[in-house]
Formats: sequence, structure tokens, C-alpha cells
Amino acid sequence: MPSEQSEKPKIVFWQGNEVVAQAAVAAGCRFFGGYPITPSSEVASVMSEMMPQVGGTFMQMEDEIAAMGAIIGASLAGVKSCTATSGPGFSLKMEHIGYACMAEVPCVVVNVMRGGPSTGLPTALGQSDVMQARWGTHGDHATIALAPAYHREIYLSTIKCFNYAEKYRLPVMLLIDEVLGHMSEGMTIPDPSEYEIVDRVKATVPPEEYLPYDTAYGDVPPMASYFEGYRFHVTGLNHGANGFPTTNPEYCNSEEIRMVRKVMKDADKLAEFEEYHLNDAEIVIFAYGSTARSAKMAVDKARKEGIRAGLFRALTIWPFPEKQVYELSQRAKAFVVPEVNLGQMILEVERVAKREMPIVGVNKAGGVPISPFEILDKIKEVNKNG
Amino acid sequence: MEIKLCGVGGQGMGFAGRLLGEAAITAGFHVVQTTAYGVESRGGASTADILISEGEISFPEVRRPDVILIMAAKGLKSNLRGVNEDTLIFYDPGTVNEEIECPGVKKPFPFTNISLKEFGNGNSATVIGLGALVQATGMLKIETVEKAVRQCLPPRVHEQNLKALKVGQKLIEK
Repeated sequence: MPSEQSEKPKIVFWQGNEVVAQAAVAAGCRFFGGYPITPSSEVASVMSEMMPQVGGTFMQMEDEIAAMGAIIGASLAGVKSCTATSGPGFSLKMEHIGYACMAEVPCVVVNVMRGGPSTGLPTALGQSDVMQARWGTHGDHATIALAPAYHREIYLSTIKCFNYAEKYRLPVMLLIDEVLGHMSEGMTIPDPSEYEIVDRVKATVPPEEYLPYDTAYGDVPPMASYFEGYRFHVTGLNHGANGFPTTNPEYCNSEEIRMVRKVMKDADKLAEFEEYHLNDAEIVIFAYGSTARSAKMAVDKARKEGIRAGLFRALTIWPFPEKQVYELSQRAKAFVVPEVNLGQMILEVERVAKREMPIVGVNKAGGVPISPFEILDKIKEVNKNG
Repeated sequence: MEIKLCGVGGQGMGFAGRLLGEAAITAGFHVVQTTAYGVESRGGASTADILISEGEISFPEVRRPDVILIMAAKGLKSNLRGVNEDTLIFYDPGTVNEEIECPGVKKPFPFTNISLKEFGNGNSATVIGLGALVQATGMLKIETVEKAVRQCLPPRVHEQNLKALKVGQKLIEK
């Protein structure tokens, strides 16, 4: 008979980075290709312990782009794969991230954001890679990026990143930051009944009939794995259904449109967010990641002072939740957008709002979090100016 | 409750924070711990912020510490930010070696010298400080922190750490 103790869900006190690693394993990740970098190194560290225990492979590569290449290769062999890095390493991975977009290879890239361009502030907070996640690699492509704010949400988001990668065949970004990555927070481990696990649609035709980019099945072609009898060509060049390069303008154009459409047609389904006191909100805070935690507290404080403030916390930042932000812009008086950068997602809020209204940032790029009081001050200022 | 632990890399501030966090979780509280450290592998300022609450914790950093443990002078000025007249300030005058000029209830103890005397090395100074801090605040039972020691550390170092907690606790009982 189970004791009273064992019936209670166990509360763990993990660092955010450990949460990512544990969730990746739960999602079915069995290959980690890494190159350590602060503040993400604990993801690699925990993965190096866990992968052998679950029959997976941990491989430390010689640099970041090699790590990205390794996970692309592992994924083509049918194994759910991921890597983890921070801003400087994210930059170095970009060439292969583009390759994974073009070759439609499912994989997950975790970026624990730190401060500054270049090596910047290795041990300090930043949210300055949100645009890099979207446009860091060249060419037109769709991006899915999640920016969770709480440890339990990091766990579930990590699993969703793997699911989206598998479902849409593309590299998916998990964006956390130094504060979340290094922060320990009590949480119960989500039960498998709380989430689903999605696996890629595999090829069912005989090997001799297989075309790796056969759009007859829809916008996401079924995927064969190497070493299972299927021979197919993979390239970063624009390619035909057989995987070999083509420069046919009509075909290339329609394929680029398909690869963006496969994600964007589901933008509404992908948009996940938390609405906090938005029903009657005049001043809407748009926030994501660790900064959203401060924003929530700022909303509580503003409400106590009689200001109708509310929070729109975006969990999915790419595709940008256009419909929801547009709707809010039609009834709110102003937006306040706190970010630990000099103003990046605010550009999207401005783009989507499509009307003259105050849209003001609370910005810091010195490696420290934005406090609830700094956001509150801005709310008050906006409120005072009507 | 907001607790700040301040020292330099190698003194175990992050580890002490972890012990406190694990203990507070066992006691049924919501807990968040963040750490701050420099790019140096050792010797740079290192702090741990621990927030313990009965409700959910949004902002994860200490703003107005209820208790602060200071084991080194590095970063002292910024570490004392938010300290108020009710803050309990534990510090080791031997290693801090600087005047602590701020409001608050000062609790100087030679943690490092005590560790040297008890164990022949200074390694347990921070855990002794932790024992004193836990006893003084009454927020957690020392037994709960002892359980965390057993959970978080390999058996070979249990004895010294458990003893260090007791030594710290006794500093306050006196």
C-alpha cells in the first residue's frame, strides 16, 4: 500500500536548465549535440548524464555549428535531437539552422539568452535574441519560438518544441534566459497525461517509390529515416520532390511559399498566451519570458492603485500572436512593452496595432532584470498622460 | 521571506542557497532561488537570492532582505541595497574586513575561525553561517535543513556539514 508521503506529487527544486533537459528526455529526445556556453551549459551537463541512461547519445562537438550539424544528422537518422546554446553560439549555429529550415529537418534549438552583442555578458540576463530567433538565418522561412516564464511551463514548452519540430519538420526555438536558466524553483513534474508526444509522419511507400519532398501528402511531406533502406538526397539548395537541386523559378517559388505556409496557416493554433486582467484593461502590458513575471506583479500593484492595467503574456512569440494583439489594440488605450533589450518585440506590437496609440517600452540592456516597480512607474506615467 | 547570501566564488553561496531552498520546499513553501556571479571561475562576487513564501513568487530577486549573510567584502555596497532597520545582518568580520555601514540588526560571528577550530579548515564557514541564520529566523527547523544536506550531498561529507549546521545553531542559542 502506498504511504501518504508517496501519494503527494513530488516537488523538485531544479534549475531552469535542468528542467529543459529533463523535459527533452520526456519528449523523446535521444540525441544531444552540444558545445557548452554560459548560461546554458547545465542543459548539456544534465544531458550528458541522462542520455546514456535512456539509451541516447550525448556528443560534445568542436564548436556550435558542428553541434547544429550533428543534431541535423541525428534527426535525419530518425532520432529526436536538440542542442542548447546562448547568444554567441546561436549566431554561430545560424547557417545550419537555415539548412534545417530548407532541408525540413525536425530539431530543437534551446537558447538561454544572455546580455549584449558578441560575447557580451556571459553570466547575466538578456532577452536580446528574440529577433535573431526570427531572422537570424537568411532567406524567407517560418519560425516557431516559445518563451516560457515559469519552470513548469518551461517543461511543457520544451515538449511542445519537440512536438512542433516533428509535426512541421523544422528547427524550433526554445527561448529562455539567464534568470530562468539559472533559477531554481519548486515545481511538480508534469504527469505524462498532461501532455502529448508527437512523432514525425514517417514514409510508408516502398523505398524505390519514396520522394523526400513529395507534397502530394500535404504541406509537410512524410519523412524516411536514413539506415532504414531509404536512399535520398538532402541539400540546402532549392530542390525538387526527389531532393535534388532545381532552379525552376515556379517550383522554387511554390516550395518556399509551402514551407512558410505549413506553419503560418496554423498560426492561430500555435499562439499560446496568458491573459491577466485584460477584460477591462486600458493599459496592456505585452511581456514574455522572465520579464513577464515582473509585469504580472506590476499589474497587481497598478490595480491596487486603481489603474486598469492588464497583462498579455506571450508564450508563443513566433509566429507573433498577431490576431490577439490586434484585437487588444482596438480596445486598449496604450501598450507598455518591457524587455531586457533596447526594444525588439515592441516593433511587432507596433506593426500589428495599426493605429495611433502610445506604445512605450521599458528597456534595459545591462544584464539585470526589470523590476515590477520600473514597469509600474511606466504604467503610471502612461496613465497620467491619458 | 527574502534572504540574500553574499560571498565570493568558492565559498558556496549558491550551494547554501540550494540547501535552504530544498529545506523550504520540504517544509511546504513556494521557493525561488537565483544566483549572480561574475565571469571569473573563482574569487569573483557571488550571491544567492532565496525567496520563500506561502504564495506564488513572481519577481525572483531579493529587493528588501529580511536576512542577509555576508561572507566577503566583494560587492558589499550593492549587496546591501534594500537592507532596512529590521534586516538581520550576519557577517564574518574576519573575512568581510570592512565596516558594514547600513541600518539593520548586526550579527557578527567569526564563522571562518570557528570552522578552522572545529574542522581544521575554513570550508564549513558558510554552512555554520547558514545554521545561525536558520536558527535566528525560526522560519525552518534545523532538522529540515539537515534533511536537505543528506539529499543534496554525497554521504562522505554529511558528517561535517551536519555538524557545521549544529555549530551555527548553537551560536544563536547561547
